[in-house]
Amino acid sequence: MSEQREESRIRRILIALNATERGGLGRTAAVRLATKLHVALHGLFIEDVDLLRASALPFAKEISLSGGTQRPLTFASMEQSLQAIGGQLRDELAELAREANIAWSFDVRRESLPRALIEAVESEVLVVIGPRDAALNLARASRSKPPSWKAGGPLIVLFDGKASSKRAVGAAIQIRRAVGGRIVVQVLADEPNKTGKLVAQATTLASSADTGPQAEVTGAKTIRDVLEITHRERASLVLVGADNALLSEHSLRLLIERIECPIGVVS
Amino acid sequence: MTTSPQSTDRLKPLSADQLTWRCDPAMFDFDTTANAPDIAEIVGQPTAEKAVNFGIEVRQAGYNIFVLGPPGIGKRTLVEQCVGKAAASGTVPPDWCYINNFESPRRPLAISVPSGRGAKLRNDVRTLIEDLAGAVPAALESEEHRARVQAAEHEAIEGYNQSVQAVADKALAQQVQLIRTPAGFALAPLRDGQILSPDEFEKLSAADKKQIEDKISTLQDELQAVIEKLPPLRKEARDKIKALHREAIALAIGHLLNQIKGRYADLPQVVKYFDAVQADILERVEEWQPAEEGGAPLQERRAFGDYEINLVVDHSNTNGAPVVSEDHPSYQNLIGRVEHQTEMGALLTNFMLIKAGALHRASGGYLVIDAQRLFQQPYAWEGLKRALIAHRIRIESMGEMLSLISTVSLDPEPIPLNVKVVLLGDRILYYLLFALDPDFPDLFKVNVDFEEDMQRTPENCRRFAQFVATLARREGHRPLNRSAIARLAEYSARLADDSEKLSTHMRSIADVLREADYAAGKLGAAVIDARDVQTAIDAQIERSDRIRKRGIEEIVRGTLLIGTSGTRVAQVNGLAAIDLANFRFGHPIRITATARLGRGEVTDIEREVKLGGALHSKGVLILSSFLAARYAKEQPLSLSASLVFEQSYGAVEGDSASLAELCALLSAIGELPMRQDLALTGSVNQFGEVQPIGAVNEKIEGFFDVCQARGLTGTQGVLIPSANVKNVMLRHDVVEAAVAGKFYVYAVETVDQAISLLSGLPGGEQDSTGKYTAGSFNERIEKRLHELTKLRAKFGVEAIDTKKAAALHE
Repeated sequence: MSEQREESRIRRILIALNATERGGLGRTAAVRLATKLHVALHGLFIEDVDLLRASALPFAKEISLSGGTQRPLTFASMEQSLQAIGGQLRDELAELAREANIAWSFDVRRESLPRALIEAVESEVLVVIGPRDAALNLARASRSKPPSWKAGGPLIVLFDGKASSKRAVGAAIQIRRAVGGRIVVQVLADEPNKTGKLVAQATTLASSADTGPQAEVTGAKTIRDVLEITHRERASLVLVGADNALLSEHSLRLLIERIECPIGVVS
Repeated sequence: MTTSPQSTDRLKPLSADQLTWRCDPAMFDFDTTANAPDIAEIVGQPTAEKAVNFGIEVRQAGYNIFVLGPPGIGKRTLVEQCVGKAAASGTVPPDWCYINNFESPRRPLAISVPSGRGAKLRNDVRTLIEDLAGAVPAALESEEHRARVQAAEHEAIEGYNQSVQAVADKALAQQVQLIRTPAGFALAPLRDGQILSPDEFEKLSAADKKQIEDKISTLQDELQAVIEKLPPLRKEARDKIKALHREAIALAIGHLLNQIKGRYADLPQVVKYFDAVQADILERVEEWQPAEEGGAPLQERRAFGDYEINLVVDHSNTNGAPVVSEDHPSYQNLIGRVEHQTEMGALLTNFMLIKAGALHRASGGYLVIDAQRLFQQPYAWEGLKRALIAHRIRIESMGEMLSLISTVSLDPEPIPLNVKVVLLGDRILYYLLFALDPDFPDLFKVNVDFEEDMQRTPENCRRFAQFVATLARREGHRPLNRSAIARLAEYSARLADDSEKLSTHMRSIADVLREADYAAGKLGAAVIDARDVQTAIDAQIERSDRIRKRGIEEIVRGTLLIGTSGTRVAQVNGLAAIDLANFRFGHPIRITATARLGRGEVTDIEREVKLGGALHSKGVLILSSFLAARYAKEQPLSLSASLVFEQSYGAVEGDSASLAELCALLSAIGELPMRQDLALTGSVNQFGEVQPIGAVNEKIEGFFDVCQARGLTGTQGVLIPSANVKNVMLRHDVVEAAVAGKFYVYAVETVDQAISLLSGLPGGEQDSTGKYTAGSFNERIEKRLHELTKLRAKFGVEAIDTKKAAALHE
């Protein structure tokens, strides 16, 4: 059976922003992709309702990363803080877009982060979310600009055989054409006996790409495997289909928390 | 019997030989100066030359040289010649560089290297920097190094994440969710996988609420304990990464620095500097990280600029000791300065912006400065003194010194100073400095006083000719023939105001030479002739002559009243000189006197109206003393007289008209008619002796020009002091008129001789009773003064009688 790459063209980049991703890697990646793919950029700031709900509890406290001090949280202070961060991120995105000379828009939504991400996914839109700021930040304090997203690193596609992951392969090829880099297809099989089939499918999809070197196909089982391979390969972007099982709320939180590069979600 | 005044019968006008000195061209043993040898020495300044050489040879501190003399006399030429000769055999001093002080960047360090090696060191360091800028990023960007760094980072982050994750897992097991907040973490209870809302929490029983709060409180404490480990973990990770960077960089630059250190192994200061460079590079590892996207590459960031060498003194092209002539001796140009650059509106500086001053360049040699220019520059003298006293040059910004600017500046390490300073200036400046600046005598122990003239010996005339020949050759002029040289020598004597001397004011001679060359060129001549020299001299006069001509015109037209014929009582022609820039001329001035009964006072009208200077007033007071001493030894001087310079509207200074004033006064007392075809100049003392004055030539020529303009009568002439005869160097036309018997110059020694000439009466001699010879002018004056005394006495008796009558009447 011959596998067909699901044809899908990225026509818009949506950068999903939240209060715990301040480092800017996601933003610079989104701007760069929008520039290279000649598409519009939309910023979506997600005011995480879980965060707001937690802060409304009477005993809620925030344990600061700078020194570990505890301070009481309130709904009002958290809401105020989120609004301020949203405004700041909007300004930063505007500046980046202005410098790159691309069209942009911005929106704010109050929602659970994983849910907001899934809801944001629609046809021909690449939803980008940056990795969370590492708790142990080793970056230089003198940095005045957001860290640059380095294009040209491997594009890792998480492939589970579903239609959206096939479109993710198509998106990877489109991105590769625009910014370079090799494609690594990471096969995720929930059952061992399906692995071989998925590998075969992925190999066929990748080899049909007319984008130069053949894609590499590797196998993985868990989120931790994914994290390990993205670290090892120094991936520049991880692409995943919207209906991938990894995008369950818990897994997605873990992925965002621990991954070192931006994630792109394809419908 | 008193001294007999000299008889006028013996007074003869000066001969043509006495009126000028004619230089015999035959005394020169060349046809033109093309055949005359060059002269190396400065003509007429043997003492000055000796003093300069003394100052140069004494190397002790304080033996700096002040060369004093008027401008244009050849001070700089002599100094440059002597200093140049001494410098040629001197040793080349070391080069000096400023380098970054890595421990205290505001205090750059100074290092010296043997002359010529400074430039090489600078170039070697530039090459080193280029190599460093390539090697360091290459080392940091190598795959191997990046992998090691990422592994270290990953290890640190993973270790920490696992600690946090352990708390998160423990919390989850207790139905508590660990949530990231904008600034840290929070813990929230779960129900059915969702965070408990406040409403749901409120609905819980008190026991459940307490259980949740206790649970969360315990977890918060555990989390806090984990987070408190964050800063040391972060530091440990960074230190580890930094150590990796250092290791990579050390490996990459070690051989580069070892190579360059090997080349300068004989210079410990330089090797020490390279050690400091190496240590600094390893200390600043984070600055050498690869550029972020959009940032300039390391090579373009001047990231290694801190390791450059600022070569402030480069003697690679110096032969012998340096000789620096600073023609703009401002504070900064002498001491050096720290420049600033504007960056984003702020003034910034660094050790590369240190600029050397003349003292830096001259250290180990000689610095020649024009003193007047030095004193025109604010704080320049203070800066120079400070450096000479301290024997080191400390660059200090004037703005900072005066608190004019508050921007950050540098305090560079002072550089040792060993220099011989030669100041060139006027005499007055030297004397003022000596008197008013206590540091000056200690710092400038050698004074070189330039002679303004030299004896007109045949040998000096030949030296003068050689000087002109040398100058003509050096400046590319036509050669001069012997007659031109002779005419220049005569001009030199005239400049010296002395027929027995030659002027050493070489600039004036050089100017005439240049202009004579121009005149010869206009005529298409191949050789400069006496005619061309005269043309040049005449042209110089003509260019400055407007006011003199205007004065003569006004005399001829009768606006300025000057008599040149006939006789007048109480009126004589005095002579005055005017200095206008570089041109001096003389002109006659009418001096009149009045005499009447009085109490012996002589009023100087110029002084009364505050136009007379102190010296002029002194001259008039001497007249009073002379009158009293000669004619009123045993009787009151019952005279009231006044003197005035007619049609004089400006200040009058000097006593050179006191002879003329005395003659006018005696004429007024004795009612003696005075010849108006004669003019006179000279000062007198209390005994009636005539003393020399200045500008005698200009004064004679001034009266001659007036007489000539009206037509020479054959009786006109000028009386001058005998002591001035040697100074007489008159224009050729005046001499020619004298030779033709149309104009005379008389030299007088006493006032009696002058009065005799002016009045035609003999002075007369005193007999044993003290009476003057009958018919002499002295007899007439004495008699007149006696009459005035008697008249005064009579007035005195009548006044007493009147007072007595008034008393009786009362």
